[in-house]
Amino acid sequence: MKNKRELGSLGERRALEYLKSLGYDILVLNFYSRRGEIDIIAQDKGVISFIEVKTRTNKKFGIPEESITPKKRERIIRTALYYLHARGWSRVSCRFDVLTVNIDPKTGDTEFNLTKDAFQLEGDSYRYVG
Amino acid sequence: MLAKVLSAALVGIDGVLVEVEVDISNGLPSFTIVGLPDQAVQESRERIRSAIKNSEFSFPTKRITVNLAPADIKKEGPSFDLPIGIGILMASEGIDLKLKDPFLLVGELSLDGSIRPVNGIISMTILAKNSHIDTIFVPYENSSEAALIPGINVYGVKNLTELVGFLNGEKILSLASPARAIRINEVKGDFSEVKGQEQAKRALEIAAAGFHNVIMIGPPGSGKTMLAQRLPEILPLLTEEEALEVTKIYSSAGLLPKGGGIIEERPFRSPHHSISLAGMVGGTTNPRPGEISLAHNGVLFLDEFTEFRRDVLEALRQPMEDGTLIISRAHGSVRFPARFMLVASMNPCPCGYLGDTKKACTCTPYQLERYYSKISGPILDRIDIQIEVPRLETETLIKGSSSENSVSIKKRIEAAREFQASRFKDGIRANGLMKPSDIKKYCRLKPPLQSLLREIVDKFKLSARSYDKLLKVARTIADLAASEEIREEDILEATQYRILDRKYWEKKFS
Repeated sequence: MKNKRELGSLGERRALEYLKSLGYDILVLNFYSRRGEIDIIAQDKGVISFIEVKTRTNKKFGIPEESITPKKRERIIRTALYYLHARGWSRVSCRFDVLTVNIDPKTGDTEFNLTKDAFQLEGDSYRYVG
Repeated sequence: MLAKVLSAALVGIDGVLVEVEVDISNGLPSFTIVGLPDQAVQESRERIRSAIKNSEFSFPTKRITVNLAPADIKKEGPSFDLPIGIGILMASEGIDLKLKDPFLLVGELSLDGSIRPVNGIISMTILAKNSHIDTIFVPYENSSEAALIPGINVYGVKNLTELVGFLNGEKILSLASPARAIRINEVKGDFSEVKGQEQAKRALEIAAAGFHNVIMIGPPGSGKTMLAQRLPEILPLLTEEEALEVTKIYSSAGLLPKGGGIIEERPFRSPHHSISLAGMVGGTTNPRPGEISLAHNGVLFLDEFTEFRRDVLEALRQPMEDGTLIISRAHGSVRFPARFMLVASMNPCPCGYLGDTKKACTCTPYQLERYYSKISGPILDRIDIQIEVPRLETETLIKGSSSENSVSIKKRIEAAREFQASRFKDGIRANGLMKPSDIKKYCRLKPPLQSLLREIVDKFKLSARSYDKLLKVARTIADLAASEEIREEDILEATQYRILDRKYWEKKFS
């Protein structure tokens, strides 16, 4: 692996295939807004799923789930709110998933770990008219 | 989907109906509780989420809003866990409700879905009954306590799965049976263990028979504390109505032992003299019963009476007259019952040996003045019986006089109480609790006794309240002798319990 960005995009490509195999309809890739970024927005059995993809080659720096800090979570939530607002979707069912992709640097083998409904909004700190 | 469940909040010692509304809608998944919840209620979100997941139900990935109505009462404690959890399951269609009648739910959830006991179950059951709700679901460990209230179906539930099964009509729960009597007082010993002090024993017997306040004055080691600690042994048991009142207070204060039970013996509280005002009368922002309410229908024993903080003692004045205490706070006022029998004890002076036959007192007049000024006139005036507990004579100390045991004293007291009860038709429970109008009605004196009393009032300069108290005590003495009329000797004996304040509070420093 040359650098982080390359690793990240490789992970996201593998993640995309994996999600498609699970029956997710991919809506948007790398949705950017001023508030942050969401790796994949997909639809899973009628539920809008905002997916954060984490790619790792080793576990030296802790497990991937750990790197979703409260600040990162808040960015994802704010971006999700913006996305829903931009599409004009109010009363839809949503979820935040975290997909970790472990790539073995030597063999190139990939291991997936999908956590559905990984986190939720805390209290009423985000005003959301819906 | 919207679901509504009934629950109850505890305000003071009374239950207040709370409607738990749960709305589940699409949107970003979140879980919000509104309606003046405190920290413990906010934290219930995490308990409910885990409890539902660990009970093999699915927690909805939706936007959940919970409202606790009415929104102007502060909701505290974990007792809303269960109604909120059931509300969520009902709104997300995890429950297909078969029970058509209204029901009330209370309970704390544990992470594994089991239901933990909460405080104030009796008050909430009374509330349910008064609101014409036929069924109440309570934590299993509280169920026998709730079942003390007749005429309502009480189900004790152990965990969430069991309750959901019952509400779905798949499981059967059996009705809870009422709790058995429990003991709250530690047995300190028998009256026969106290050597001598026959006069003090007689005075305590009168006090117990008529629910009169007592103050004991005597040197250290004369047996004041021993006597007071043996009082619970001679007090008559609580009546059914009183037992429920007391148990309700202890339940809401969280002082009932695990498994609950009904308190049938009269409480005996002896707080240390370092007690704060809030500890004595009840308080803090969300008022809780204080020592005087915990002593309701029983004895409040204040050892080393002069060592208590002045404001703490003065705060006793109003409840001693009214039998209740109203605590007002920014968000409303709360009424606590506090009809207690005050038993106070103190030394005659700071060194303890004033008036002692063997040891000289080393206190200065100034010290004495300060000492006695700690007990104000209004407080002293409210104490019906004042007695001296002198140093024991060497003979009595060594030989010991064979004295009566608690059981036979208690028999006389119970007889006197029955004698009183047959006289009072209007809900007065004992002579000590008569109001001035009742005294006129129940303590009529023959003309020769009236003139005797006039003489006594003039001689000892008795206040109007002292006069009333004297008559009440005389009535109790007559009751102990099963006499319909108050006799001359009753008045004379009562007088000697009324005049000690002259000896100590007035003579000393004039």
